[in-house]
Amino acid sequence: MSTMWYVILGAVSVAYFVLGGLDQGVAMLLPALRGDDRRREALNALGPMFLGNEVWVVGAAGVLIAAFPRLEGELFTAAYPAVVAAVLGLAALSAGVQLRGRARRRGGFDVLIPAAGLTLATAWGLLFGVLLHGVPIGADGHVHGLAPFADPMVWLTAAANVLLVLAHGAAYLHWKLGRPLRPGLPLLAGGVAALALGGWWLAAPAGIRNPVAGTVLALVAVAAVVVAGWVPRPGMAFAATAVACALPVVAAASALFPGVLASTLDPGATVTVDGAAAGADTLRLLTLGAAPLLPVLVAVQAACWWLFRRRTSPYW
Amino acid sequence: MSALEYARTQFGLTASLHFTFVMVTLGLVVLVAVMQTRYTITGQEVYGRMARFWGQLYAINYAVGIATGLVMEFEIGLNWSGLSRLTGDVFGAPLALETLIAFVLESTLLGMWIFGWGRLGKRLHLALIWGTAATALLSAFWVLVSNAFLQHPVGYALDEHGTARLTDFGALLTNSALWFALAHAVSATMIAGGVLVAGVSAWRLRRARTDDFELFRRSLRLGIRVGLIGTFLTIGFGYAQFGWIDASQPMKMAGRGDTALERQAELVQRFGPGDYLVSGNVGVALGLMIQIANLLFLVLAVAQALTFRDALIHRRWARPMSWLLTALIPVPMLTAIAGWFVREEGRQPWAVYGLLRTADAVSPMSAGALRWSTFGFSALVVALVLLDWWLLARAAARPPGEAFAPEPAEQRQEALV
Repeated sequence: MSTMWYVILGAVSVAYFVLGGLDQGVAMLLPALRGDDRRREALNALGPMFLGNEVWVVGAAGVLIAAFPRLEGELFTAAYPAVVAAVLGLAALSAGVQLRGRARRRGGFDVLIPAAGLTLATAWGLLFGVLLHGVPIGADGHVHGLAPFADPMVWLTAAANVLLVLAHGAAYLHWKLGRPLRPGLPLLAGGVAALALGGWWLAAPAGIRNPVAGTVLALVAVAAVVVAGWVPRPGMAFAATAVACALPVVAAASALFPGVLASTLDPGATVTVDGAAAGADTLRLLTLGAAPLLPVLVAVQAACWWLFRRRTSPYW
Repeated sequence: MSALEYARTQFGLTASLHFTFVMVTLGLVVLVAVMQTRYTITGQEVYGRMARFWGQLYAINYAVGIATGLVMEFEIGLNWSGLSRLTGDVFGAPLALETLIAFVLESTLLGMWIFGWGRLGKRLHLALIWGTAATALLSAFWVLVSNAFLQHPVGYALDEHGTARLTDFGALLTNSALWFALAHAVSATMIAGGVLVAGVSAWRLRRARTDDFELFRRSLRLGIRVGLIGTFLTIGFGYAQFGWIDASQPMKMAGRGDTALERQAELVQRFGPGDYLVSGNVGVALGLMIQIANLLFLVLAVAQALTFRDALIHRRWARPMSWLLTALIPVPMLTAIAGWFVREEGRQPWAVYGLLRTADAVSPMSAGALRWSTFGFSALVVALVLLDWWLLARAAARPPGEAFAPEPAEQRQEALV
């Protein structure tokens, strides 16, 4: 049961990294677009999907709190600064993107939105790096002190994530608006590939239990970015960057499994999926209450993408 | 200030300000759905214009409200790890159901509704706003299931590590601290929505621009009616909660006098040494809430009487009431904050009543770290509130015109984004 909920947590996180990454990427690309019309067009390309994209992070946090309360408690404590930054970024991004069109002067929003996107992409990348690297959990099962934010590998992961969502956003805008963007997808794709591979091999953190599965998945993710850089059709390139955004989550989870939060102090103190999960009754309740509705949710979001498959702007 | 005080200040501020967004959102969405239903059934354009005008205010408020809600969700995880560790099993489950099946669905449907005017079939589009309203109410329900557990923990057993494990979900749903509180809170959102609609309409009608006279005339009448009914229900469901409070939280209404001292002795026997007296401000907040609600009922009843033959709009002597309605817009929100103060401050020193003390629920953070996050989050949330009301005021003042026609002839280029 706890493994099933771990898979659901993974699926919801994947949804956020793919869809939310899209928002972050487009947000960061705003300064690369000249003129208010172009910028508005880019944000309108997110349009009806924006809210639906962002809410997956709320869903992921909800699953984390309910199904894995211990993981949530320890991880958030260890990565406090990164999580605070992410929350500030989330709030600023969601308010900024939705309110930009209502302001008379857009200058402030045009700084706020990319800054929020960059903060978010960096913070999630850091959190991701912390997960791979492990946190200082003592023998009592609790975190003592902050995660190793000084470690350059953690920052390398963050940089890779920033480049990845940039490539993702660029591919999306190319697909939706029919014009390639200047920052050049191939260049970004190459950067991500190099950073990801280098980071993965150099870091070789202690918490990793299944290096083969993790490495293979990471390589597939890198391959997807490379493909995205070379395929001629923008739709295909977008699909490829989406895969590339999804796979790191899967790769990290498989590499750590059955552990989920590695301890840098004491290998025995590593938090496992079972150890982090809520009680059986809670999981059964969640399974009955939420699991049947997840397909509905996916169907509604799919319907949203289909209904608004053409370019959109709201009437008011 | 200590880490605990920072964490409490931070959460109290975020939660009460977030709740002002919730009230406007919940109150408006049902009104908008009703307007759009009338439009779909009768085909009268004025209802479509109403739905679009108020829907726009609703969408602004929702967009900013999400940001404050996000801050709040993460604050629970960041600052209250004791709560997740010891009782997260039980109280986290309804919160997860809230985020997954209510909130995520609600936002998806709302995004489609905002962009769907004139693009989707009328019936599908109507279904979207009702779907949004239903999931919004479902959200409120799950959040209060969680909150009711904190007020009056039921349906759990402690395992060998002292962690609360869920044993009886039915007990969570039949919690005595749940249903009247839910009805009370939902009725209060009716007041907030109704008074907002009535107050803005009264203001627009006073400005004597006749283009949208019909839109605001009907909105004014609807707003007053809904506000009046909401106040009646809120007061009733408020008093209905006195029973369980006295049974489960003897200190909340005990004040600071002799009764309180007697109960302090009882609680020391039950839970061990500690200060179980609640702050004297709880009684003040309770009295304020009750008095304001009674006065509000009176005012809205008079306003309702003045809608007869639209005296409120046409008669000079009725002008003060029109002004009053506009001035009352923030009152339901402030009163609701007083209500939350009674409910939450009134159960101290407990985070989970009788089970987990607030002091034990806070994360093992340094006061320094919490000070910075408190400044950061508080500044952000307060800025969001100010931004919200500024944008709402601007949207409410928008000159009437083509913008609110439900089915414009040509595709508009104006953008939300």
